[in-house]
Amino acid sequence: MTKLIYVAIMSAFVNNVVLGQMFGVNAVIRGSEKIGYALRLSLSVIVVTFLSSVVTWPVGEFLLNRFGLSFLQPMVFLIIEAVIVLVLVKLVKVKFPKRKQVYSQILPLIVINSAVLGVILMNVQVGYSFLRSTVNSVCGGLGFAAAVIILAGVRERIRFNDVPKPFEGVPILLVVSGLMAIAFYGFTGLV
Amino acid sequence: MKKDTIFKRLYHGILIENPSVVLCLGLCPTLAVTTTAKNGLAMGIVTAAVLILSEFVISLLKRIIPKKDRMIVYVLIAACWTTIVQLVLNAYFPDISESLGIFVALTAVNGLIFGRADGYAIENNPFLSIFDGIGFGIGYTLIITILGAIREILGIGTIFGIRIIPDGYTLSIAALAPGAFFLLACLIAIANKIKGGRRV
Amino acid sequence: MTVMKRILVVVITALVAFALVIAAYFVTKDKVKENEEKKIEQAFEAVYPDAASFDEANYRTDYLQRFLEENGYPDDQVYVNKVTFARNEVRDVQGIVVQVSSYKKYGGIISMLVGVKNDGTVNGYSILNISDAKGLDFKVRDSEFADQFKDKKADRFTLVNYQAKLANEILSANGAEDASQAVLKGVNAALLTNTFVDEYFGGVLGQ
Repeated sequence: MTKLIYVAIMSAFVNNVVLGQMFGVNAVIRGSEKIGYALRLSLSVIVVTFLSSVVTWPVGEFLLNRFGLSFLQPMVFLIIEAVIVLVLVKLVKVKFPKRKQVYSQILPLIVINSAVLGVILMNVQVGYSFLRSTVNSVCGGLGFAAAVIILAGVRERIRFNDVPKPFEGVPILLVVSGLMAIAFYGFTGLV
Repeated sequence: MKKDTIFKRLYHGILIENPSVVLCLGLCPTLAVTTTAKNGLAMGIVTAAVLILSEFVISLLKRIIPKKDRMIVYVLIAACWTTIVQLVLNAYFPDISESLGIFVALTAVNGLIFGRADGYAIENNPFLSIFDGIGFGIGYTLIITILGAIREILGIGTIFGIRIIPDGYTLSIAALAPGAFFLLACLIAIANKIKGGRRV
Repeated sequence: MTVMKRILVVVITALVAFALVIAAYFVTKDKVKENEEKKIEQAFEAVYPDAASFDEANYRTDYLQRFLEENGYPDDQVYVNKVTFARNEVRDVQGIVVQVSSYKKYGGIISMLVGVKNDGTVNGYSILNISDAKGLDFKVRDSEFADQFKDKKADRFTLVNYQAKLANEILSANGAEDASQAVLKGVNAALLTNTFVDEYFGGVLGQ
């Protein structure tokens, strides 16, 4: 049990998906424009990563690796992820028709979010157990959520700051992310 | 007329719409593997290869690809070329394959590829699409190699393996995650400053 | 475009994509295998250059695992994949080569070979693979770090950050602390394995 807590903290904070492993940076930069968007993006990422991981782990372990087809991991996992996203889009359309932004913008773009693919590939390639993979995926998603939501918050705060002209836009966000990355190093003390 | 446009494609990709510092696409590999100049160069070539091949195929198939499902077709094609490039890398350049690690596979979801596929290849002829890929590929490779070189010099003290600064005087953080963020921010800022001066 | 046609295009694209990839796999398969075998061969050469022949040791892996665990190395930190005897021309066992996989603290595994002589001297190590390599991790491949272990004898090595004073202290590679720690665990596990092999094969070695 303590081991799982350790894994959870590692995945979410110490080895943060965005700030430590540097997956999904594009999504974080573009998704942090408004806090509301960031929240919806985070939730979508957590759900998609969790579902994808649950399906791709058995496929990776028992189908691909067993028969030496590990080179097919990216393609197969991407297809699985795309199918899951398709299903989710339909589901959200039916159940929450008012959440147009979620199903028409956020979910489709998650397919090309390297955070999701990165996490599910790592799980299978490093050879984690199913339990550890799942915890890693959910907490990886939480880590992503932490990064994008905090960045959205900071972005709102610095909206009226006097940023040097060349740094306006993406560069200042990268600087903030860099500072966040350093801050997250502090979590090392937790484990 | 055609000759004009090849040049235009290259000019666009390398300068005006440079994927790394202007459009800010494909940031993940840019930040993650640029710990050395060699890694940056290798990653750039890999991305460029997948970009060119994908744009070519998508442009060839542009009449057949259904408008509503084009995203999934792009993903399939990009993933296909990415895997092929990865296999070639494993066979003939295994040390590069190991250095780049999982990010070769993540090229399949690199925003640059989808940006160009949807922004150019789906509407233009295959020949020009190849050059669009070459242009943006060169632009991307240029920036990430420069970033890799800077991070290598500051972080380890070598450039392409040749030692310049003795060990112990290096700024390790340049080679770690936060350094990547800061240095890329500076590069983009420099590009913005240069761009701001010209009336492009 | 009808739904049927859309589905058809997507499915055919997928099939063609898979076909191409599988074709590429078969074309490159042998070269990859060749690379892998050469890498392992070179690694064996590097850790035990004066061995005339190698052969695999047969032992109870759970006994070894338990032994390692008793000495502070449970199998979620480091585990031994294979133990190989290094023999000289007259088939005497000179030492062992241990293939060990060591978990890095922040994720990833370092797979390496460690050469240990009968008397417990470390010949050196050779890194086979670093998964999830971050930034400066590959520094542990450099002779600057690796040579610290060469021809050293110790019961257990420890990692220090500033200066290596005692004989069994190893200076951590700057910027690659995580990987350094993992390599250290691997070498220590190999030393423990040597002790284990001594006890297990009881006196067979060095005859």
